[in-house]
Amino acid sequence: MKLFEFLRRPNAPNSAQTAKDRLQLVLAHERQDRTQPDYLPLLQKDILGVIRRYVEVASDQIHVRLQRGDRMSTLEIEVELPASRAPMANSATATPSSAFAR
Amino acid sequence: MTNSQRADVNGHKHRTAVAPFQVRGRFFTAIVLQMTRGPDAEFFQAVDALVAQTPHFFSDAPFVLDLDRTNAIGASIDFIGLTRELRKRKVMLIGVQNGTIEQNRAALTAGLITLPGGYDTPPDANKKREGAPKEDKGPQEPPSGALLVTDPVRSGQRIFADTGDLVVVASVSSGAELIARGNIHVYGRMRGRALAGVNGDSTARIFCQSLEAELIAIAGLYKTSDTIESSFRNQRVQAFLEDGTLRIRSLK
Amino acid sequence: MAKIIVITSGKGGVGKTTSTAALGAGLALRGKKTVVIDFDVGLRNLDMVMGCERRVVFDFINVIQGDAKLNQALIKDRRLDNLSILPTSQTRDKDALTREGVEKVIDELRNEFDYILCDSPAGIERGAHLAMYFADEAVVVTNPEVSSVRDSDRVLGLLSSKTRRAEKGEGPVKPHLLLTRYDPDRVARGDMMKVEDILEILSIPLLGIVPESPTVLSASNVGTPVVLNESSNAGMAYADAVSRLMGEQIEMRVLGPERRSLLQRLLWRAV
Repeated sequence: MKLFEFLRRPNAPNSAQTAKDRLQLVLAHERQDRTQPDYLPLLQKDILGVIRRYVEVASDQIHVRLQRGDRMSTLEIEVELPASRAPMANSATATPSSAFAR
Repeated sequence: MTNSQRADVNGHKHRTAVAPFQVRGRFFTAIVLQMTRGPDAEFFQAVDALVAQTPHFFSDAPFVLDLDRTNAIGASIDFIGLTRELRKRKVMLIGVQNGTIEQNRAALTAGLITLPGGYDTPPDANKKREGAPKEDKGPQEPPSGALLVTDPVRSGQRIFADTGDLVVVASVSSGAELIARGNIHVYGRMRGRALAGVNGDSTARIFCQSLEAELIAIAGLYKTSDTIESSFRNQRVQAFLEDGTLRIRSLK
Repeated sequence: MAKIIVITSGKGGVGKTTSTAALGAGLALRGKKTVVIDFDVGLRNLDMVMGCERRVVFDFINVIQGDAKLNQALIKDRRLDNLSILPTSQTRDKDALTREGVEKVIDELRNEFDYILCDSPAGIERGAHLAMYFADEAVVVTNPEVSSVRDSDRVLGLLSSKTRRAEKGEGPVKPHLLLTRYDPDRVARGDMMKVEDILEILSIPLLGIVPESPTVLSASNVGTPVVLNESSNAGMAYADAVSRLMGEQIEMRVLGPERRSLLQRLLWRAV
């Protein structure tokens, strides 16, 4: 009854539902992870390797971010390309700015 | 060992034998040789050099071989031959430690024992051994200097006073252990284990400000908390050996 | 120069992770740049209690093994600017933690933060040992219960001998007792050990008394450190503990679990 809501105990009873939701999400990912190798560090290394074939970048100029949602996860890869440097031979034109790949 | 004959009320004769042995705990210092390679010619040369350097050091000392760094060579060590060769050099090997399962098996076959654990003694104790004359099998050297501890002794910690008395000016937690060649004094609550006179000194005593010990022992004879009379709990007491029994008396 | 504090206990389940989250958030609230590190490799929990489990990309082990940079693994807390979390790996095991690796990470963190809080796993094996090894101070979390008190005593022994400070003779790791799950009513009835009894056995300074409280469970359900709940008695106790950790002298107040008022209890029955 809405009238008596103010009388509810100090801890919100809804927090159990939040806990359940969070757990289901985390465990779904963790169960998957346990059967697959940890690919993010390798992915980062490989991407760095590919980019280096075209442009000289340091390893700290590449950032990989993962955002997990219940239906969709997003992998964000950010590469800081060096400004005003001639691209190496045999490469496509590279714009001297940050490039985002989603 | 005497057997005396007594007659009971019905006139039947019985042999009341004195027990053939008494079981005691006793600490000995063994010398550990940590082998870095198998017992080859260089190994025996090094042993010869060591014995030549300090001949008294080895008189009657029990030797233990630490196999920690030779696990890789497995059971290829011929322990029977090794023991014989070492004894020729007056090095009395009694056991091994940190060996692999196969090494342990081979050692056991050679008549050696496998020893777990062990604590290193401080370097001064070893120096004292060097000075001792070869024939000294008599009474123990008088204890020299007490080990003083002023921080609480925590569960799982072990304090070993190997040259004399141990004085603790703090409480001793349950699960802690105090070991001394001489007497033990605890000016605090004694909740752990205290073992005095560990080298066989039956004149050693234990003094406590508040007895709540799990175990007290003097020269190997011990009492656990359930065999300590409840009237002595939390009291100022001393414990000592009298007529081969461990006695407790309150200190007033 | 950062202060490195280990949150340890020996016994499991007494409130180390909850306390690390609460103390970390409390310090951040007071303006201190704080990082909390999860040392329980293979059983990570700090990220869930802090509410950032969905943002874990790289972890402590990745940094130690050179697969990622520290700033890639550090997660900034969304609520508090001064707070960062370094989560641990869920898939590796304790052997991946090395002393040299931990030292390198802590040295890097020293320059950036005022407080480094190390959430120790239970037990006295490698993870727990490495969590305490570099500590300047220790918060020993203890429940008023026999096994917990004994295990805390064991841990105090290790803090005085198996840490870098002890090995190098640099001055002791400063211990603090944090009593958790305390219930003054049960103490009054004689069903629970009282603070004085525990202090007498452990003989270390008292940092705080955190009452048994339903708000602790709700806090971990939603992933918010309980210190951020202003109406929680446990939260208030943690806030006081933070002040004492920062050197302030505050009177110890012994709070109990929150109880509904008489009116609430009567009307609850009627509803």
